[in-house]
Amino acid sequence: MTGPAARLTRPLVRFRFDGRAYEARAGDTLAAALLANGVTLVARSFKYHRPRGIMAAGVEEPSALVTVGTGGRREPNTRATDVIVYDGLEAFSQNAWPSLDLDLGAVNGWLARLIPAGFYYKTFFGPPRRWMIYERFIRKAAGLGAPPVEPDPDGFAHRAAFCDLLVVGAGPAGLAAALAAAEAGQRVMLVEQDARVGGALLRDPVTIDGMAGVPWAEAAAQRIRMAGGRVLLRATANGYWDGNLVTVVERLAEPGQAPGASRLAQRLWKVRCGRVLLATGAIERPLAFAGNDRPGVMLSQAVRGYVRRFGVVPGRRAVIATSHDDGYRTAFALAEAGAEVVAVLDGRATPEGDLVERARARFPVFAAARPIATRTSGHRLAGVTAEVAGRTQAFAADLLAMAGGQTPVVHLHKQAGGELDWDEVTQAFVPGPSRQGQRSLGAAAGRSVLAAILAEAWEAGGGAARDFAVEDPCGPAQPAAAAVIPARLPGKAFVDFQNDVTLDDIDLAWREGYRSVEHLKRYTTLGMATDQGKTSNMAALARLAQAQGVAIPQAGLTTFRPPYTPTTLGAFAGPAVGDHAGPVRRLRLHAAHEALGAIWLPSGYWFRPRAYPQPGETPGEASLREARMVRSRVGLVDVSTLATFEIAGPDAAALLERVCATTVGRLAVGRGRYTFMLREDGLVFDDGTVWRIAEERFLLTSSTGGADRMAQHLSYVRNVLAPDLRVSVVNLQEHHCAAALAGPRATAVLERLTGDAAPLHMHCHRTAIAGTAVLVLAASYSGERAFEVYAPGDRIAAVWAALLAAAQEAGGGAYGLDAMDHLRVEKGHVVVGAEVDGRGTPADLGLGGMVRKAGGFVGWQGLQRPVLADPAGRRHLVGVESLAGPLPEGAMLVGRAGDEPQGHVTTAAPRVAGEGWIGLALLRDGASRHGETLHAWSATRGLDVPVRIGPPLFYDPEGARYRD
Amino acid sequence: MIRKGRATVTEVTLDEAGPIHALELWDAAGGDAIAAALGHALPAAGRSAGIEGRQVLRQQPLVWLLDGAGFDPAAIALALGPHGALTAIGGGLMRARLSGPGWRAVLMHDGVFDAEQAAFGPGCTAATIIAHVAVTLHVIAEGQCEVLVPASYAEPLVAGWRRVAAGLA
Amino acid sequence: MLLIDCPHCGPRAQEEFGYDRTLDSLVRIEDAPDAAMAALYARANPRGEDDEIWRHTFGCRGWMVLRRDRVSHAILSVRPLGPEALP
Repeated sequence: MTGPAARLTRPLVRFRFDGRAYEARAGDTLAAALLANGVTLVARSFKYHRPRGIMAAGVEEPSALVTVGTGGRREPNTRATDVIVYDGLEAFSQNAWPSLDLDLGAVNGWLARLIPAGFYYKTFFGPPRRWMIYERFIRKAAGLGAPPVEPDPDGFAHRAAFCDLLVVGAGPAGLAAALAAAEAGQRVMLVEQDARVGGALLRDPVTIDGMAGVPWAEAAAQRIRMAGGRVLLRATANGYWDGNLVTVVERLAEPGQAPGASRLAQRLWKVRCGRVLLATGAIERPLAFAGNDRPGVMLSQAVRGYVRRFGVVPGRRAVIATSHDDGYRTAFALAEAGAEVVAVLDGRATPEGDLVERARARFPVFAAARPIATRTSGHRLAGVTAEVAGRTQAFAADLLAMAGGQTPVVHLHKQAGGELDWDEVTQAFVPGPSRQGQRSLGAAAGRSVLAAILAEAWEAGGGAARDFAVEDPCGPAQPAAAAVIPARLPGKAFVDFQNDVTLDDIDLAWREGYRSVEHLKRYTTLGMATDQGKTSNMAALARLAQAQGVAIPQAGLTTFRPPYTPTTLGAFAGPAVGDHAGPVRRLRLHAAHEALGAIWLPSGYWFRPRAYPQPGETPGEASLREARMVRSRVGLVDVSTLATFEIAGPDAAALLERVCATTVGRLAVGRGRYTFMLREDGLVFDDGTVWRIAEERFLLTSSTGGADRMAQHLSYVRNVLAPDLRVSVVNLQEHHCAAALAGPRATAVLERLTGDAAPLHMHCHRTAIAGTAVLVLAASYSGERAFEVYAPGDRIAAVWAALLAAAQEAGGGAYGLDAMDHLRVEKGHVVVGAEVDGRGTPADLGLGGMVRKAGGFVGWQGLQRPVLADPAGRRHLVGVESLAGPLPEGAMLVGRAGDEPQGHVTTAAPRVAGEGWIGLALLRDGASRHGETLHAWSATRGLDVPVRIGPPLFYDPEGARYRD
Repeated sequence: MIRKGRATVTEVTLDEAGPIHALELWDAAGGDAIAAALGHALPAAGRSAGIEGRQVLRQQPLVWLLDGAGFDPAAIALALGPHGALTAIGGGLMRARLSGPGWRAVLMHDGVFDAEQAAFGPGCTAATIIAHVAVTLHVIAEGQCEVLVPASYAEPLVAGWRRVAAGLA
Repeated sequence: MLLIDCPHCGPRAQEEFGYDRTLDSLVRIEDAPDAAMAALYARANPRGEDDEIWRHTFGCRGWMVLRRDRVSHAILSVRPLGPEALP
């Protein structure tokens, strides 16, 4: 049962539009529900604010854009044809003020002469000041809906899927193909953007194999599921990418609707497919005539859909304007539903055939007839003026159904790199050769005979050749010939309804010299915005081809870009929102730091303790206290995030010699050394320490921030540059956790805990703390006697607790990253990301003397370049001492505020030993400028601090404090 | 995430991975020596071998993971001799266990690997990326998959899986 | 969005891989400075087919050379690179 009677059997659903309460029936689209309630004025147009109604029944709807939902769920620019009404739905019209009925913006329609095609671009000419004025006006007047400002309360998921066959579109072709494949045992996925399967079967009462179309479709979907196939409804394949990857956006809740138990609004599927069958159907073309945008002027197949699928008759007195047989089906559907068909205007000179003859027996059919203008009463269609065989004739009508031809939906085929062929009969682009695993079926392939479509789809799915018995009460129809676009038309004949582009605008663009389709698009805004020209591109192209005097295929096409339909930003973001925008790495000792009152500092993906403030302390005060605690007594810092690698094997030293620019291969067992690494261009990119922990085993440490890059670099050198070495490189950043114990009392604390003599500076040994085997490296970053204590991540907590208790007993405690930074600045130690910024040579950083002269490491060739080898004019590492208050980090070093910068302050810190501020800087020719006075100038912060340049070392220059 | 009476029940637990060693081989003789020491051949790419508590997974072209407390690292190192290297890595890994029929669907979220393919059954392993994190999947039984995850990423990753599993149930 | 047929793992998504460089920009440590800088800064960069070094960074960590058409994005061949590919 279909039509108005069946409608009443569906449950009632309540919704509101612009604040007024209405009733719908379950399964209605918002468009169907509005039409059922006699609401024909739904929107105001983009540019001229013309009253607009509902033109289509699917995602191609250009005019009926509404905002649905409230608060964080508000979704602007939603097609009323693409929302299923749910109880409590709230929808609002857009682009109208003060109301939809009385919209002051409609004055733009009267001013149309002043805002022709390319208006925006024309405002760019002249003084920029003028554009500033225009812009305010344009932004206010040219409108789509407003985006929500509250956060979206719902979740969005990303999910991968794999299948042998993806079928896009669950019309008859898609269902037949998916069914054949699923029952042949293939992994099948069938996605349908609508809430129901059936496609054209929902509007045309055919039977397939003796079954009515809709039950046939539902049974087919059920059989696909039974055979293990995955059928998704409200799921739009919106992009076809390389490697047969298709993205599918599945709506789990309608726009504005609170989702169910999963709390997910949408799910983005990333489907990797063996083959893809595109049964995406076709979109009907409107006709061009004056006033073709008035509420009540609709696409013919859409009218049929409203009547048959929803039981909604969008008008009582209908005129059908058609270029081919399909329009007649709409006449029959309307008549069945009790509407009066006033006229069928057939553009063909001599329409013939069974369907036409049967229509002639029931309706006034006019040949060589086309609409040329409309008449409105209020905001709604009241009459149609037609040209019939050269004479003008008027009809009173509240509905005009347009059948101007079919445009196959070739978007995904094109996105996949496919080519298009031109079909002369239907005047349409149809899919040509494919580049990936895609093939088009049914109306998307330009086919129109259902029995043949089904048979072809079945075989394409992998089924054995078979026939389908199709019975169509309307009988066979001719292919969908496209309407001819008249050479001249009076009035506003819209081509692009969404962007208010008329035939005149296209002609104007042509006259102004915009000859290519890409220029036409950008100049007129044709085919832009949310519908991307789904109903307009072909008419515009035809017009352009007329002007160029070429056939349509020669006029060219604009690019089909994903997404096929507008996609909520939340679907792209998926779960990566808020704190989840990037992965968070937690320290093994996170809870221990939390217990000590740590404040956190993001450091790459890590969160590390910045300081442990005591009550009443600022972070700055806490850091300085912690740093002084290290200088005077002892401190403990978590250095677990350092990059660490174990390099083992007879060729371990040989590999390290290739990676490190310093001498490392001749280290004795139990000894360590500072080292740094170069890129191939000769510039320093990381530094660290290397330790020989056994005859054939080294431990390499490098910077936290460069850990992933170093892992990649080591793997590259080992596998690509030195595949013949017998060596194993294992990334142990996660395995090794470490705490650094530093200060004059560090040796005593360590020896009391281990019972062993502490290793000498730059020596290492294995011992035990708290019953756990640990590796102790005696290296100093702070400038004090210090030890890095390494233990596996699953054991570090006990080691840290023992060290902390012992340190506290010795008058010390934990210190954070800021204190560590203060300490190392005083010692002039560089850090990757600040002083090591990828632009310095070893010599620039004061490390030139450590470089292995014989070469043989990555980057040695780059270092030979004259521009690197000559230190003159290069930026050198220097120390800076503030002569007046805090030093702004990042400030430029200038002779005088406003001068060209000669360098910049890379790190600033308060002095730990003493008062005042110091920093490290990179300064042009800095090595020879010690003693000069410059200014640290930060224009953005309005700071200007005089500084004295000096050596990058402020504390214990002899290194007496960390040596034994 | 146990939900009684629901069809799709997937429980996600997280524990220390325990002892794991990376074994890298430099020549075929090393493979023979290790096979002799283990009592079985080293598994091919994408496969595991061994018994509970002594699982061998092939992780890289020339690197196998010895997963479990049942191995004697000193004996393996001795058998290995000059043919390769053995390095402890277990302190950096956590072991997530996904149990129940929904584990495949859970692992498809924010991932790119086909955990739903029928061929990915018990004894199969795969290294892949899920939610930006490099993980190693190991199918233990039809209804159970273990995932080795870097310790620092483990908590948010597992929290995400639990959320997904709750949505499936 | 490429699907790359890893020599060790089979077809896997591009997200698991990292691109490193073209094969002709490979700099060996023993290369003379002039040759090394030419490889780095004056590579051929042809339109169409070229050899590229990729790594299955988030999979088996293995290295490989892809013969790839940078116009059509088609991958014409994949071969392993590294110790496992030595004769």
